[in-house]
Amino acid sequence: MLKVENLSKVYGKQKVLDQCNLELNPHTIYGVLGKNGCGKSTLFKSIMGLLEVDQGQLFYKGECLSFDHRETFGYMPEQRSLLLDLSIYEQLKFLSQLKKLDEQYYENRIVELCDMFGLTKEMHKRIASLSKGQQQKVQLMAALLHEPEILILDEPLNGLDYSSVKLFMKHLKTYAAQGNSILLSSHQMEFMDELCTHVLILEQGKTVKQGSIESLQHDQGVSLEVNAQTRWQKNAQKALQIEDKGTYLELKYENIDQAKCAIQNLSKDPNLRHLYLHQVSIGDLLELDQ
Amino acid sequence: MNVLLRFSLRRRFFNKLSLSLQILFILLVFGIFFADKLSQSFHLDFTQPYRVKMDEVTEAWLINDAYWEEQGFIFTHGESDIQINHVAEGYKITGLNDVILQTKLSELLLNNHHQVVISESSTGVYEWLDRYEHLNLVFDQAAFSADQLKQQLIIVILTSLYFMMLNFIAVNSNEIISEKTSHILSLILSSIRPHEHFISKLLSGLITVWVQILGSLGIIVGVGFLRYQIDEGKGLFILLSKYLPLPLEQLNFTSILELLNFKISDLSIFIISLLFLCLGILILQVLILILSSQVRTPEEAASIQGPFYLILLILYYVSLSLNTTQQLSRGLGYLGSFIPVGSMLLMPMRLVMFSVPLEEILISSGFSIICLIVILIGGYPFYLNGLMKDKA
Repeated sequence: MLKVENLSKVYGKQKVLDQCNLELNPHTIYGVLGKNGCGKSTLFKSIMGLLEVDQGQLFYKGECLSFDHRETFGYMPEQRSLLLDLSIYEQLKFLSQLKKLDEQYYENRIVELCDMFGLTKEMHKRIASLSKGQQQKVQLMAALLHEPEILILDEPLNGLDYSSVKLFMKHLKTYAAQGNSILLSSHQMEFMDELCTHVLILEQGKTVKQGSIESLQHDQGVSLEVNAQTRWQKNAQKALQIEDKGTYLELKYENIDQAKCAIQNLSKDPNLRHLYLHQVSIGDLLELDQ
Repeated sequence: MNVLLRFSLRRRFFNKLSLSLQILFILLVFGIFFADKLSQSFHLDFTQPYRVKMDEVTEAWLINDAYWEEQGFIFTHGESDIQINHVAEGYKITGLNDVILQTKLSELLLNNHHQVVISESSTGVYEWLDRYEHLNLVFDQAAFSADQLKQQLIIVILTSLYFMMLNFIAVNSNEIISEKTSHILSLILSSIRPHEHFISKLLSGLITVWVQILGSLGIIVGVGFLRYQIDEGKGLFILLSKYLPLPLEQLNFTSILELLNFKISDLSIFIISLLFLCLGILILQVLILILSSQVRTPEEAASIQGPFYLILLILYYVSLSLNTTQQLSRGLGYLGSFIPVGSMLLMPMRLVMFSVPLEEILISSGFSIICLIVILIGGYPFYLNGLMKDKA
């Protein structure tokens, strides 16, 4: 649906984005990860047309990405982008009108979104009086107003408590499941495994890893924990490494397929008491590369 | 663009502070137009004549009681505001510390003294004094003609509008800075094109200026008309005559308008002057929009707006200093009336003073329009760059 080809951006002498490629398809939640200043926000702003790119091309449904396309995207910037003296309703109404949404539609949509994010009671309260987490919810509501096919969220989980993060994730997953695409960045790696279907890891503007979570995990190898009493020797032939951890053993395999094969064999072993499959998380991937 | 324009205007006008200030302004205009009535209601002694008490010698010495009453003083034997007593050196006045009233009373007493001395003198001395005091001078131009009053009135209105417009330039500038610092600009620019943002800011600035000007004018005319219905403003002029050393007590709104004798040509001068003012303000507004787009923090705003206002203040004083027949007919004032921004004050000054040829008006306005177009086209990339540059 959205294709980024060889995107580069330079500030002065510093190349903040270097030959970045990305393809966002329906049902996809694409996580862009990396340290601060690695070029995540620059990538998002370039897609949204808020920055002029120095090199590369952007396509939407096969056409060169234009303002008319971008207008249909939902965007949530990293910084708090709200007029604090307005109420939630006024803020969302203003943004709906800017998007030229039908009055009847946005009136219903605002109520629906407030209900969805548990802010119905606060709908007519000034945004300044809301908590940081509630303001973050308003930002996401603003991005979702026109039910965009593509949602671009820069650090959407910032400032949210655990239950709010879970609520956000639930809504984002549902949204992607409806055939939409989400491109997001976050520092909260513990949630990225659960949320993303694909990741792009950036380091100083360069792509260091990219692809679906499954393929990346497949390539990174997995480990199996089994209790010492099992007949593990039968399954150790394909293991890269075996470590005795006292009460259990750790068998490392090159990929998930080999581990699956070992699990199949071990499951027939009557002595099997403990079996744990450990896959590389997105956080691990990020650490591995930095 | 319409949404942003409407949103900006609504936020500017329909907020508690603006509405409170409007109410305050209406009250102020009412206060001015009904100052005499108010003073009467609150028993303030502004329009009442001053009660003057005097000793017998002084009372016998005064000649024209009626004239004193016309000037706002009545003689009393009871409670008084002012006392005049004859002393060896002359007359002692007690209970009066107001400079204007002291001057007025001194003139009245001196005038009385002259009349007394003249009436006591022989015929020869009287004639000599009459000749001594009177010299017939005839000027070919009146020192204070209705035309001059009219010209000054137009200049006062135009310069007031100039300052009013300058004030509203800041509104736009602050709005852009606020949009940038609150990061709402990212969301706005993801929904509307940057050039629409630029135009909506220009238009909202102009509309704000005109709404404020016309609104204020409407309030003044409305309250003035109300006062006209009551007594044509006579009471107001009586009040003024008490404080200004001018014979205003016979005036009212109708007589003032008759004196000024406004014609269609005056209206056309005013409209052309307004157009020049608008062109100048538009140029300034584009400039300050471009400058404001470069600002990254609210603190930086003052460093841009400060020098800008200083330059405009200098322009105002320079224009005032050039407001002479000589300067405006062939001097720097004449040249300045063709230079964009300078022409917003100097051309109106020329228009009210002389009959400016149509081609000069067209050339001057043409220069301003060209300047505006050049700044718009040349400045837009800077504006765009300024809006985007802190977004990395």
